[in-house]
Parts: sequence; structure tokens; C-alpha cells
Amino acid sequence: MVIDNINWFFQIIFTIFGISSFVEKGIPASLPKMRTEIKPLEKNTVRIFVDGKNKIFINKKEIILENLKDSIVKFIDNSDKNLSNKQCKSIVYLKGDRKTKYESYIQVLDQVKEGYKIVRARELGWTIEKITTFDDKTASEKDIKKYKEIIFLYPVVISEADPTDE
Amino acid sequence: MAVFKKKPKKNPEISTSALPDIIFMLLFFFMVSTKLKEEDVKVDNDLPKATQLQDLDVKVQTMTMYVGKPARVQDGSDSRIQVNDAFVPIKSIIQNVETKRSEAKTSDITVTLKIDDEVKLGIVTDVKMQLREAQALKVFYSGNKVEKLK
Repeated sequence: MVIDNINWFFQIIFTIFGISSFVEKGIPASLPKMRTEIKPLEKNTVRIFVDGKNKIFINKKEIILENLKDSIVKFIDNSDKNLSNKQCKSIVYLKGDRKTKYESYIQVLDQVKEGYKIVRARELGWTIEKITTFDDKTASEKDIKKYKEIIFLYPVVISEADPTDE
Repeated sequence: MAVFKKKPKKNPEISTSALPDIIFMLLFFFMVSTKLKEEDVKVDNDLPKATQLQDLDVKVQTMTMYVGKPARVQDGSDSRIQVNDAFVPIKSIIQNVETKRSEAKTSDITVTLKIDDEVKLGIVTDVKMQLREAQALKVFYSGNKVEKLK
């Protein structure tokens, strides 16, 4: 009898928590300020363009979506990592045509992020699984420190260029 | 002389018959007091699928913006922007952001962009330009999480 009632309690509590713990998922991004000029090193930039027919070009060479993350990994490895100089940050310029489908654009953004994640995981010596499920509330202090370092070394800088550029 | 033997006292059981009543009361309380989502999405809103999605920080103040083809035919066939239950012209985004800021009493708001995957990038770019002018630089592209892109 008592046990039955406890079950009732659990059911209601779980339902309430289940509903309230619904969080939105997405890709956070920060837009550049109006009229800002950054002049990064040419070696440390990569230009990705998605045209009106949803074809992807990386530094003017066509590429398919599946290969994009590998190109990003290669690009990060090839860029200079002299962090004393702010201009040495690797920057991904992402640009689309006005007729590009939003879905393709987001998928490109997604793959760039995945490229960065692969590099970070490799440098940490972690598995992809571990870095994906990394949560600074549950991770050990050592891991948090390592993770923060790696974010500092490999910051994701994606610049979503103005359509008026170029 | 008769010896009165003391009977060992048994603790009376607590009656649990009122527990369901309490639970029902709680249930009804939550049913009545829960506020349902106010916004009625008036545009098509299939979010794009992606793998590298992060959770939106629940502590931040957000403003949701929907972009998509209107769901009803009489609203036209071009992609439109919806803020707070109403279609807004692109030029009034700045004003909407300001309104939200004064409501939230902070200038630090994140704009959640819920954009349909069929939308062309042109209107998205226009929205972003407006947000830049409004100094609302933190955006969040909502998506649906999938394990692998097809």
C-alpha cells in the first residue's frame, strides 16, 4: 500500500522535471560588430562559400559536405599557432549566396564545428565520445583545466561574412 | 490478586488513505497553474538537422524569432519573420529588440533564430544585418539534433 503511493509520487515528480528540463538545442554564434576590420594572416584563413545551388567551395575549390570536416582539420593543422599575435587566430570565413538554402548553410557550419572538435579531441587524447559528452558540471577538475586550455589553443572563430564582401 | 499484564503497545499505523487526495490536489494545482506556450507559430518551422548542437543556456534572456513560409495561404508565399505572435517587417527588428531589452531589463539578450530549413539565405542575412545594427550580437541557430547527417 505504502509502496504504491510512493510510486505515485515518483511518477508526478518525474513528469514535472521531465517537462521543465526541456532545453532548446542549436548552434550558438556571435555576429560581428558593424564596421569592424580584422586583418588575419592569409595562411590562417579559409574561405568557404555556399552558392545558390547549395554547392560548397573551400578556397574556390568545390568540395562535398562529407569531406568538409577533413579539410577543416587540415586547415587548422596548417595554420600558424603563434598566439602572442592576435592576428594569428585561424579564422573560417563562411559566406553564402542569397539563394542558398538555410539548411545547407547550417550543415556547413555544423561540419566546421565538427572539424574543430576532431582536432581538439585528438590534441587532448580523448575520444570523440568523451569530448561530445564533456560537461563542466560533472567532469573532473583536471579535465576541465585541459579542456579550457584546448579551447584557448583552438578557438572556433567563424566569421559569417557580409553578403556585400568581395 | 490478579496481576494485570501490560500488553506491549503497538504503534498505530499511519493511515495512507489520504495520500491520493493530496496527490490529486497537487496534480490539479499544476494543471491549473501551468502556463502553456503563448506563441502560435504562424510559419512553417522545420528546423535544420545538425550534429554539433549545444544546449541553450537556460539562464540567458532570449528572444525568439521565427522565419519561414507562412503556414496560411492568405499570408503570402514569401518567407516572413514572426516575433511575438505577429509578422514583423524586417525594418522593425531593431525596435523589437529594444522592446525586449526594456522588458528583460538587460541589454544582454540572445536571439534564438528558429528558421525553417527551406528558407533562402537572403532573408536570414537581412535579419542578421538588422541584429548587428541593433547590437544584438549573440544569436543561436536552433536545430534538431541528429546523430549523422544523411
